[in-house]
Amino acid sequence: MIIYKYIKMYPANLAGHVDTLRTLMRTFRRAKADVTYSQGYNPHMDLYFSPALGLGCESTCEYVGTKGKSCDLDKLNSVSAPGIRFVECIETEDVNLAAAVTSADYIVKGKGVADLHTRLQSQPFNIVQSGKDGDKIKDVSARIFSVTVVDADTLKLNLACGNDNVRPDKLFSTLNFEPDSIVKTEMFVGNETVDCYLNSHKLN
Amino acid sequence: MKQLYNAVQKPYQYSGGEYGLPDLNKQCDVRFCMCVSDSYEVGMSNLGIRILYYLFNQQEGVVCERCFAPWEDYADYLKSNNQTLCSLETKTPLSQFDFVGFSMQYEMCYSNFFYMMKLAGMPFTSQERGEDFPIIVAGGPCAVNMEPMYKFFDMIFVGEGESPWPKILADYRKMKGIKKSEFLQYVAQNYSCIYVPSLWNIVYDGDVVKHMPEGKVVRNIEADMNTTFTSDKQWVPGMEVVHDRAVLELFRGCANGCRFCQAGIIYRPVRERNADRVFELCKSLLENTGYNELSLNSLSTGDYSGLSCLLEQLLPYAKQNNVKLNLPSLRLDTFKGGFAAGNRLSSLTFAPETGTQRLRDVINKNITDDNIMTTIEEAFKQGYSSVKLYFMIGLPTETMEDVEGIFHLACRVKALYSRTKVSKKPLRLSVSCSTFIPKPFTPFQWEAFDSRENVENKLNFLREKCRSKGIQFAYNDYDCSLLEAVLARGGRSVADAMVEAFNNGAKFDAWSEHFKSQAYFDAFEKCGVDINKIVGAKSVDDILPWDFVDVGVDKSFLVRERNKAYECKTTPSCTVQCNGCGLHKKGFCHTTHGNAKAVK
Repeated sequence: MIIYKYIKMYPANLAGHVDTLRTLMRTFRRAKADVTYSQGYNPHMDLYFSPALGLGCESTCEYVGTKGKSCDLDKLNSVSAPGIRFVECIETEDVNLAAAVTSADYIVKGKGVADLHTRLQSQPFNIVQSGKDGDKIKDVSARIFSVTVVDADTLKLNLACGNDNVRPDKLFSTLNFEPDSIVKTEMFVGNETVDCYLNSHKLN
Repeated sequence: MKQLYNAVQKPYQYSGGEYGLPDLNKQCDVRFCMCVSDSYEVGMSNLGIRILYYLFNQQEGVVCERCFAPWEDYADYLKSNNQTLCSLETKTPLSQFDFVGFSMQYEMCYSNFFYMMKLAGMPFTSQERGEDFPIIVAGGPCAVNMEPMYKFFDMIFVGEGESPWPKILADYRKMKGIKKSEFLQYVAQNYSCIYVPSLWNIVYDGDVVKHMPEGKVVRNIEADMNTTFTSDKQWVPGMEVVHDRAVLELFRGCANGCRFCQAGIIYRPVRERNADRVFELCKSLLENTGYNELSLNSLSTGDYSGLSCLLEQLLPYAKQNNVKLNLPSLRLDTFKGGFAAGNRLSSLTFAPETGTQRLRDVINKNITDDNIMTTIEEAFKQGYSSVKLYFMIGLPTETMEDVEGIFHLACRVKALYSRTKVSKKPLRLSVSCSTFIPKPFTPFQWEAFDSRENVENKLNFLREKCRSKGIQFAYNDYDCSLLEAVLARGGRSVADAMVEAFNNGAKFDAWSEHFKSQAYFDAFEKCGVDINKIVGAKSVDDILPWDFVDVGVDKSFLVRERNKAYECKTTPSCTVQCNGCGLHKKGFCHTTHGNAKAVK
């Protein structure tokens, strides 16, 4: 498996996960990457993703995997969509990042955001989740692992990410605070970063 | 200030940032904003503006950007931030461009013109704008009759834009600094395809034209599709749009001569693109975009004389590169099941248009019952199990027997499936009925739009019958069709009612959940517009509001075709014989004989 690490910034952060999936598929096609496709009447590119990133959130640590041969990063970047940039490439044995990832770091910037430091660690921390069956109240405090003040206008959050997930923008909208930016900067599999995790599964 | 992604649905449509855009940072002294008065998803699917967008951006000193009708949440977002409507690429307010062009694709998008102009902070009428504000231009298929919007546009471009527009923009560059009114005089005199409404004194008595000045506005026709500008690049949006695939035109025009069809007249004559060139363009487009789906567009794809040659090359290429091919607009007499070979079998759509051969002959849809059943049988044998059939009701000379014929035809298709199916799936058959609108520049332009009572009776009948047989039945809202008829056939007397309707809340009329018919009916009443007169029957001696436009086809041809319709006589395709529509004597159809019919 070839795993690419990529950055997703404006304007690409305004596209949701499924749209990003299509964008990346087209990028690999434009780069003429040697990738595999599924069989059947409607073949689609075999792509493997890290956990879905919420719309609006930027990230310096997204991952996408393909099967086949690796593609030159400069080539990919020469045909990538605005806001997407490939930074690393590693060949690994088969991994499932969507299932393996457990948490992520987010840097949240906004005037006076540090004042919310205590409220973010309150228990319970109830958010409203809209679903098919209507709105539900959910306590997500167990998914807020740590909140660190970097400076008066910057917080670093470590939140559950992956199968158990909490979106940082949801936390702030619950607190009626509009951050200037939310950037995911690191993802973890347990205690190790995804980069370390991938290195430990590296092929030759 | 609220973040865009927290304030609106699908924020990407307001940020731009698509892959494949031309260089917009170049030195420029002419700025053009290309608009479609519909949503991003619809506007970005339009091939016409895409061609012009890439064409304009290739011109020295010209930069072209885009703008689409924003949804209400974004309009509120703009207001709350004291901002006006801007272009996508550089966020330049529309009012700061030299030209703001609206591609008018469909009459139901007219109200969004006012919506966008208001958000842009620009007055609606040409007169109010005076020498200030950009030159507001209209183009697109509705430009053949834009009289209901005459007072809102400074100029209207009629026809295909590839050749004249670079010259118009170059002229503007040379004359930069000239007064708007002088430039409009200049283009009106030097470009026969440009209509400057303020310079045409057309006199009305209510909704009827009393006096039409001498002169004609002449639709521009690109002579050769192999040399006319086309781009092998295409924007690739980062969010899903209606037509999210690579698109290429095979040819323009249609030789079939169906009498109800406006497109068949206003896009004449047939001009094909060479099959080898098409294949090279397809490959370039797919490589440049990364799309895995390609659509080959035209008014009647099965008529393309190079289709076999093209598919011989394209099908293996598509298979090797995992590309899905779409061939829309297939007629029942030229469809070949083999088009499906190797491609995923989705639903097939055909348009028999009527339930009886008699009425089919009246409208000159040269398709027989045999064509219909043979073709659908061929499709079923290929494994298709989903068919959609399009019909129209409200056609001239229509009787209940014709309407019943629609149901009988659908039943025969059902029985055919039981006999010939290859797929184990049950048949998904749907029948879609639209209400016929007699449009300008067709042989039926003098016909009446069918009454509400008649249409409702016919639809009720079909709905009940189809339900009893498990056939899905879809139809158009009568009010929406009525309004389309008023706007398509209306003249200058409708203009004030357009603003009134917008002020009553009309916008996004093409979207059924937003369409407010009462906004229009109240406006028509207040402004004294007699819609029955506009959509009612006309005499061939009447002066029609669009008579000053020359689309290339003579009025005498339309009258002849109308007479033949009433006699149930058909006219063969242009490829069989020249029917004297008027284009030949204007220099067209000499070097090409249009599409060659598939040999049976």
